Amino acid sequence: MTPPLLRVDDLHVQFSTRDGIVRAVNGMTFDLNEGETIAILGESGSGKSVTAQAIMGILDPEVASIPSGSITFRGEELVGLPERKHRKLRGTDIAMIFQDALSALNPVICVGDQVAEMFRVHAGASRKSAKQQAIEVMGHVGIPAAAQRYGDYPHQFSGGMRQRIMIAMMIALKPAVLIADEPTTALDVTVQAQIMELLKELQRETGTGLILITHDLGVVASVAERIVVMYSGRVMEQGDVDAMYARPANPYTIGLLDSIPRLDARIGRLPAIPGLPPNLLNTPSGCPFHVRCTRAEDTCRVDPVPPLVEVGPAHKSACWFAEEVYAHGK
Amino acid sequence: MGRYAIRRILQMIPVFFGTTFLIYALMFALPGDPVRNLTIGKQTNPVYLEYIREQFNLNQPFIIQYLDYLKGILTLDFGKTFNGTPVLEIFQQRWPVSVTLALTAFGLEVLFGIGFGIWAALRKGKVFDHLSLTGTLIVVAVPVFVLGYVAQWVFGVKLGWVAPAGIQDGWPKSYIVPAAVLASLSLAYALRLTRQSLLEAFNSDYVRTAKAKGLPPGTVLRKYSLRNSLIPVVTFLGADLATLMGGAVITEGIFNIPGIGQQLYQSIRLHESVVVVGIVTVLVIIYLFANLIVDLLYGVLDPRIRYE
Repeated sequence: MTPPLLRVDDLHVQFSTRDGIVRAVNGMTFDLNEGETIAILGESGSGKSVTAQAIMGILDPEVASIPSGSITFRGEELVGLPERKHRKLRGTDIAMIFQDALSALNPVICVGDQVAEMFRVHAGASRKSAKQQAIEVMGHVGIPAAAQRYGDYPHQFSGGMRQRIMIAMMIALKPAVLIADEPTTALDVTVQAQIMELLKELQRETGTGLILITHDLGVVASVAERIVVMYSGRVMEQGDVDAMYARPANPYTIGLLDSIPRLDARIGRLPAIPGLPPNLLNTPSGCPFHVRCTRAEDTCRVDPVPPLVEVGPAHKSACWFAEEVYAHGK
Repeated sequence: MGRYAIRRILQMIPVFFGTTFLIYALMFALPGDPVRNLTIGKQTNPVYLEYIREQFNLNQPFIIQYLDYLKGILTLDFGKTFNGTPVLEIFQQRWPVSVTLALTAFGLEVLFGIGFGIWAALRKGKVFDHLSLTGTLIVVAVPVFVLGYVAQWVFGVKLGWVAPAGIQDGWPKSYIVPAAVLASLSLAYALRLTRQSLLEAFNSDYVRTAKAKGLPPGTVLRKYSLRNSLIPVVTFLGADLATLMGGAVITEGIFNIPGIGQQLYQSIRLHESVVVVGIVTVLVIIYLFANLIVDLLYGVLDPRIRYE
């Protein structure tokens, strides 16, 4: 059996801060296959972006560490990989799109050069050919008159166009894995749809495995095949989109789904999950969600943390009552 | 940008008249009679004093003196000191000395201020970083004349590496210690500014992007961190160059360097309006040009800046 394109297995990431150790990711697990889109869903601070940065190997080594777990890309272990080797993978095999393209692009270098840099550094292209290729990619992601706009600076572009530049830069070398960390959060709704459409299209062309990090459940439903729901650095539930939307098996997922406004129902005030995600410096014992969970019982409040159990085909949930919640339907 | 520069240069004309007028007026307002000052403790013929007053226009009302001075400047005649030396000649002797001193100081400031600043940022929290922060704090806290006399005593007297005063050994031997003293304060600021702004850049989103692009660390540092964080540093240094040129009164005094600062001090004491006004005016012009260059440079470094 060939290994999946990318496998994250029981990944733990922690940060040492002045106030103590922050356990940002606690046992993240998922597989990504070629051409597949998986969505990592969760509130702010649930460990989505940290997971992405761990895969990229761009966590700050001064404060962040990976005490256990593994990340394998085409069978090669990335945790503990020497920085030189990891760097060669970045941008070429595994690339990442960031949320706010205005601050994520270098303000003092023209956008064309920022794209062309990929060809120069990784493919050793000449200045001229890198420029040519950069213009091609920029045109490909829908920048009108790419050749004329090559020398423009990020501040001269609209939000949507900046995000296209970002995408152009990161897909330039046709990476096998593309991580998009809330790629549309900073954009207008209409532009959001265009950017998601573009990402899907590029994925279809190249067979890239796409990891979409978001808290937008609408986006997830339209583009992802599988979902990983994270909470407090843990996987709460994972499975196929349709199966999970139809029959969630975790009270947290139900809470998230209930908080989406629906066109087909008048429900008055939108339900929300009460409370806030736990402070990662001092996580509660037992299931991290028990404080806010309507379903919680005494077992949930004490260790151990509920394990991920299979409730349906490729559908897992970390809840002591997973079977029950699942059977109950939505 | 060209039009912008021209407009800025045209704006200097009123500033030129304003400063010359102001300085002349201030010199005129100084208490005491300049001619009598020259002859304190000596028996002098009052006729001779009157002759000097006549020769230097000192009997005229202020505005006439000033217009007369302006008329001279427009024909490149900057006037004479009381002992008959043309001011232009003083300029020719003194300015090169001060400029050499200022440029040497500036070189040290750029080299060590930026260099050590980068080093400290790269070694944040390590020994060098702490040393540089403590060192710069001391330099900022201790007055220049204390630093100057200490440096003179250590390097000039105790160690004897350089002559304690004067410029008889030429550049660089005679200039290096005074230049270091002159540069010290700005160097400390430049170091701290570089360090601070580089550390901010290290945490910026665009540096994270650069890492995600798999760029080598050297490229990330040069094209991303440094390129962005040096913008405020360059602005500071540019403005500081002009300050170094005129701010050397104390340093030139301590090390007995016959530069413009020392001349300025002497001339103020002697009420030699023509010399003081000339020096200050040139300093103002240098300052204005330095600022213009900084503003233009700013636009080159940061494409977000547009000239209207």
